[in-house]
Amino acid sequence: MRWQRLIRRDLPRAAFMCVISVIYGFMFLPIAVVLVMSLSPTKLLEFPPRVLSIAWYLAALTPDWIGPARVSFTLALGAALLSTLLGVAGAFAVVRHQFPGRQAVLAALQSPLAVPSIVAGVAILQFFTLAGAKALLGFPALLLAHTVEAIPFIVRTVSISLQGVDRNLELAAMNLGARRWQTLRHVTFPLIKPGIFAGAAFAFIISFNNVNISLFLVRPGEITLPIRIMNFMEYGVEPILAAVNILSLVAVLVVVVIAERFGGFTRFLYGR
Amino acid sequence: MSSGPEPSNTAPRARREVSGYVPLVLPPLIFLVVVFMIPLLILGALSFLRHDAGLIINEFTLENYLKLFTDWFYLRVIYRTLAVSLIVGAFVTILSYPVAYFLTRTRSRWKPLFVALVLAPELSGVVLRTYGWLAILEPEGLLNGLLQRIGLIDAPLKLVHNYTGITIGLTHVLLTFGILTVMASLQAVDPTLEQAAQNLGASRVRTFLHVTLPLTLPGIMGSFFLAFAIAAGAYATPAILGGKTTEVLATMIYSQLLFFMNWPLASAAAVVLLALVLGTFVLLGRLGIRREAAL
Repeated sequence: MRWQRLIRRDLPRAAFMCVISVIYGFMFLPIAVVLVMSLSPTKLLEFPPRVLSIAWYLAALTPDWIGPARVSFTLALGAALLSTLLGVAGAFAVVRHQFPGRQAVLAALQSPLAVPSIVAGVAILQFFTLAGAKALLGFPALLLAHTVEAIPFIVRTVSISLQGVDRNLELAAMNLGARRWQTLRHVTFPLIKPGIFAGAAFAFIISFNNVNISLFLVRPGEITLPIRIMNFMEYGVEPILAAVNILSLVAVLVVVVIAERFGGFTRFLYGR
Repeated sequence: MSSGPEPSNTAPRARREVSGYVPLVLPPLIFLVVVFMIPLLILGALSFLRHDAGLIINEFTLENYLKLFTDWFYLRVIYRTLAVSLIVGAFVTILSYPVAYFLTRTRSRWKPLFVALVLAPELSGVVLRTYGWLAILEPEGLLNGLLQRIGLIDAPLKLVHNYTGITIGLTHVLLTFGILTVMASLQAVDPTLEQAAQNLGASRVRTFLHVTLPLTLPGIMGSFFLAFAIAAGAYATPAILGGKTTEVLATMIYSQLLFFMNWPLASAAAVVLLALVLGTFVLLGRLGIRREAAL
């Protein structure tokens, strides 16, 4: 009887878990490879690596790479900030009030999701050039374009948080004498912090790693890190790129962890 | 909830005080109209203009669209983009379903970690992951090196600078989205339906095939078409893993815009891509609505 259970239940389950592990492995394979490449002292890819070296990381910390990294970082922070301001406003309006055209407005706020980002990049480049705003290309245009891409995410996460807020808590606060602004500040905003920070973290990630839009809006001197890496790839698979890529990942991780500390949005993971 | 000489007014007044957020919708809306929607309209307008030696000529014409749909070169790019995207959609969906099933059904206390692991690759960005695939798949790369060392092959397999590499790379990049989409659909399945089926004697496999799978069909289609739509508009992965002869729509748009300076043609191609993606989403909406009605 025990072998029956083995074949009927345990074997299929083990096989299933094998498949799951393989898929997870597939998902992390390129990242692991880049990590190993960044730590190998030579240009040759040897596996398993015999010696570990941080030479490529030191080589990556030069103005050649720090420049674009700084551009990407400040850009992503700016886009996160701007899109959060606009997105929170939009979320409040759409969630808290019924008004004619509400569905259309919600669709409009989410419209960047429906448009391939390369189309948006082309459109924005053409717009700035033809409208005589060529001087705005580079950082300003990048900031505005990345904000456009990020707004739908902020609206979504903040809406979810906002819908979960018990209105009675706000009414109770006002009943006790709080004014509207005080209620917002001390009751509502703490309750929607996970949504705000999750959205802001998302905005940072998509801005920092963005390629399709940045492709068209960068200017000499104002290049984002992903674009710089892609340009460098014309020289082939250079290990220094591995180090740059890993450092870029670390930067994003640090920001996301900090955002999580402030906003506590890991609870979103439970719902998923 | 009364606190004054006008009890009947207090509750409504409080509600009126808390709401009144409608004007807040204006800043984001105006921002999107100016920075996003107007540029898109200009893009559309440009697609109908004439191009001559790097200059845009203010003349209405359909020649851009005609060129895209009659010139064999452009037709091939469109066809290949569609083919790759459909295959990527299929692979992504097939790989996503098991993981999504595992994540929604597992009762392990490490579940949040597993979910985070699915989201984590997104943090690394397209460039890092595609670069990793280049290192793995190229002729002097890891995979070929391994296969040659253990004697399975003699000459390196051609896995990059062609559509094979692009397909593998895109499948990987879109896996996270696919898993999340299928997860949402699986979570909506009422577990009592599965329990009822098993109560009536169905085996786990039968329950899955006849109850769970049909109920999650919207999620499967959603995952397929979402991956398809994103793959159709992808630039970085095809640019890095593709070669001189493997253009997709996105890389073609880029070269038309910035190398050939043919803004009208690039705009027309962009409009075609946009129509393709929007059409996919409309189709999804239609299917979704019909599904709900059937249930």
